[in-house]
Amino acid sequence: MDLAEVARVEELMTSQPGLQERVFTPRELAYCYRHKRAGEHLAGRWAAKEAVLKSLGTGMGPRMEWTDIEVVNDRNGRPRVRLYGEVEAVARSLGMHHIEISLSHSGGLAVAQAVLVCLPSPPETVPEPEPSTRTTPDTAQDRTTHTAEGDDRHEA
Amino acid sequence: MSYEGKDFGSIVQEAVADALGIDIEEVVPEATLLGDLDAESIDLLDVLFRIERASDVKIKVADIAELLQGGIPDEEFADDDDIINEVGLAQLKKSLPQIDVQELAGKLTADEVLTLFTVQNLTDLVTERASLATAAA
Repeated sequence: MDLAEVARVEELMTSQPGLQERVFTPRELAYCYRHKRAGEHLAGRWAAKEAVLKSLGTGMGPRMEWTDIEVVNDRNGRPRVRLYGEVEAVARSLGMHHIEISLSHSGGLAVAQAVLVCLPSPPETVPEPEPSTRTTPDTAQDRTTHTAEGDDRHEA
Repeated sequence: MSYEGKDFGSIVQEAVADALGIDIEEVVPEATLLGDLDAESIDLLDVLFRIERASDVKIKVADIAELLQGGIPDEEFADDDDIINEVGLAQLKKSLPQIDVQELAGKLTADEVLTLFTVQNLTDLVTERASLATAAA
């Protein structure tokens, strides 16, 4: 999860020519500037990028770019995350299936939460023991270990 | 691009002071950016961009991470609890000469590494990048 001050993000992106193109993709910028309160949306997307990096547990690591994380809106207006480059590679190495995000704005702050959703590991099976040569009944039971149902989630 | 005559120490100091909105006297070489000067990641982005505009030396946040980790894979740099191990600390000492490895042994977590980065460390990185660019030209 991450919080971002809308005013801070807006001031930085507008006062430093060229910086916003390093941080946001063309699609993200187009979306933000279509809205009256572009600063809120820029801050939300900034917070989302930070939240995604936290969910990976890496922060901004070597060879990563801010534009490796792109927030897009689906047809219903729901924000989705697309990953590219090194960020995607790291996420895949963690078993990522997808990332769920939610964005909100209030009181001059933008807040984003990211959840890294991984596919569950296949169940492990303990091999059956060798047949006993004892004459007394073997009371040991077969055991099969199952992983927990549902997805493994990493929240940030 | 010629970097001759550029005072990278002053450039870094001014960039940090302007980005954080603090007096330049507070930006001493030994001050840690994320700790002592209370910078956040967005501030670091601002600082690095100001340095680039003033000096033509481009440094990304990812470059700092790369410098600190020195190409060592995560699993060799820290243990399963994300505590930086002996190999990791030895690597950190190369780029952060001010750290006390013995003091940090068994305690420093992966997410705390960047908090050790000082104004001087940043100046050294900028200076090194400029030297490499000059040598390559």
